[in-house]
Amino acid sequence: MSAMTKSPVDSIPTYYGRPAVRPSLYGWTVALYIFIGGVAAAAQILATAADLLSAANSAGVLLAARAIALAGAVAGGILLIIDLHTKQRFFNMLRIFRPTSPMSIGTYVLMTFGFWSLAALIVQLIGLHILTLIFACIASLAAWFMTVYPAALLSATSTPLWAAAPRLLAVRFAGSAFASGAATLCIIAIALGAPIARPLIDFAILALVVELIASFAAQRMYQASGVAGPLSERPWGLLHLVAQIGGGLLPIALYIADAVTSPNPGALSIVASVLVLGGSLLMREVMFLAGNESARRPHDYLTFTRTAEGAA
Amino acid sequence: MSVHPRALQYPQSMLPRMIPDESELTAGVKIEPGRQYGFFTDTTLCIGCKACEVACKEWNALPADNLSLTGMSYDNTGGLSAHTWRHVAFVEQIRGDGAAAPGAQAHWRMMSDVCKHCDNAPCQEACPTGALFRTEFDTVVVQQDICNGCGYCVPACPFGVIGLDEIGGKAHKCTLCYDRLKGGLEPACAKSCPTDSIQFGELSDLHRRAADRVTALHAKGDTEAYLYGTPGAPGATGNLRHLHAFFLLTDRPEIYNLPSAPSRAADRVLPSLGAGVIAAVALTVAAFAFFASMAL
Repeated sequence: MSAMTKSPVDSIPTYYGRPAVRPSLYGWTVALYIFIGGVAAAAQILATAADLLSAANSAGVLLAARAIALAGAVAGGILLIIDLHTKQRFFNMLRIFRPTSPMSIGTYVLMTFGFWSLAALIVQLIGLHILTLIFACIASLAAWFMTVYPAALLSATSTPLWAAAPRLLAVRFAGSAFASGAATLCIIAIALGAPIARPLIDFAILALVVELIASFAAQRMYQASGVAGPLSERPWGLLHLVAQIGGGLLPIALYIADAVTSPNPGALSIVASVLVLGGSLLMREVMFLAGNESARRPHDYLTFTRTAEGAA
Repeated sequence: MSVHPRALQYPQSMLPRMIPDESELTAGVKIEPGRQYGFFTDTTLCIGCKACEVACKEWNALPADNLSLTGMSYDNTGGLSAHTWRHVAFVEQIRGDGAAAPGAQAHWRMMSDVCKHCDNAPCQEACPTGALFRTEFDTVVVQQDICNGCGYCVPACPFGVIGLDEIGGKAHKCTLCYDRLKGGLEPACAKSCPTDSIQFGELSDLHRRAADRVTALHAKGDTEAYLYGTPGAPGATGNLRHLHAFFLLTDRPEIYNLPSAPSRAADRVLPSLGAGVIAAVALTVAAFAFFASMAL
């Protein structure tokens, strides 16, 4: 047997089944940050789009969206500092900018997003509309990256489940962030009786469909790369399915049922929106923890390095 | 092995001061900034004595990791970690092809694993603080006074090497004895290796030595010998141009817990970020369309 022979992947040996790479130490706090950051970023983008088209018809919804954007950025920053193992050195993140590190990219994206969200909120409270639009547009540019850079952060690791589908993971995160941002604004719009609730629901359905399609496509890639294990077994497989059905298919059905049964969005749509938020949070948590589990499986990693194209 | 002529100048047991450029006497190489250094670990010479593990722990004052038996083999170290920078793998095989041979003795393959000091180094590319840097000896080191324990280097490493000390809150890994190199000393593990399985030297020189060793082994009939981590070889794949700590192996990389085709994690940033931003922009355009239809 030559050492160079490419063998079938199922015969890849391991070293007494010991892990070949280390799992991340990221847990629920970082996943919670990604959820909150996604909601905040999407709320800012959607509010800015509505504001630009003068479609909101409700200054209350816009104000709430901008407050959520700022609160999300602040809460996100706090969650990230809590996750550091030497917290008092959080400012060392600002020593350098490293474009190969999504963690470094994200530091500056979050700061930019937070700063311009604060600026937009202040000028809106003062009542300077043009300035509000300009600042909110800058914040929204950063918000595009806010919704997806965490996917790049996970993909740029050697954790097989995260690294196996870099593009699809980012599309999932984008879809999930936009759906949860729309769901949040939808709840506020319904509570305030603002007519923007209707297009927000239509948009949330679209974003959910994007996320679901990307998640099914990603699962096919995981199967092909031999890293699907943690997502097809308990507990993460089951919770992943709960997130897909309970936070994806079910809210779509409820939104449609509400639209068919009543002229204006009501309680059913609020329930659907809450489900979207729950599903989005659950999806991030599952992807984080299932990823850590996949790093502990040497066969998954050793198979991944043989099957994946490397740079994907 | 011949004695270096300079060694004859130091016959006494107790030296009054350090020998200048001591590495010249112990490893036959002078250590100078601006050159590339590394390890060549020849697993066919490893006897599993773990002198490298002990020397590393002693020199770097690393605490014990695991004071229990793994129960799987004579390997009670288990693997590399924040506090274990050399790890001798003990691969017990009934026969090379895995088939049982009645009455046959087990076959052992031993391999002293270490940080590969990759070029490109995924841990260094992941580090957002610049704590991980490339030294003047072309090795990769964590600056302990800068690391803030974000832990991103840990999953970035394609070999599961770097670890985070959760008590001290910093990332740690092999420094290729950065402090010793600065003082002209051969790294502790290589100096302590009694069979020269671990060889320290200039990378180009080590590559030559390793290629010669493979040729010699092939000539002796050990045709399974090959290099892992030299340019173009397994281990130096997926934009990892070469590994500063490379190995001579005699079986598939996976049996030593090495991936056969590791890849540079940073190469996945652009595909992910690009696809994601395109999706985000497309969804924003869709949002405009939905809001515009309402405004009409």
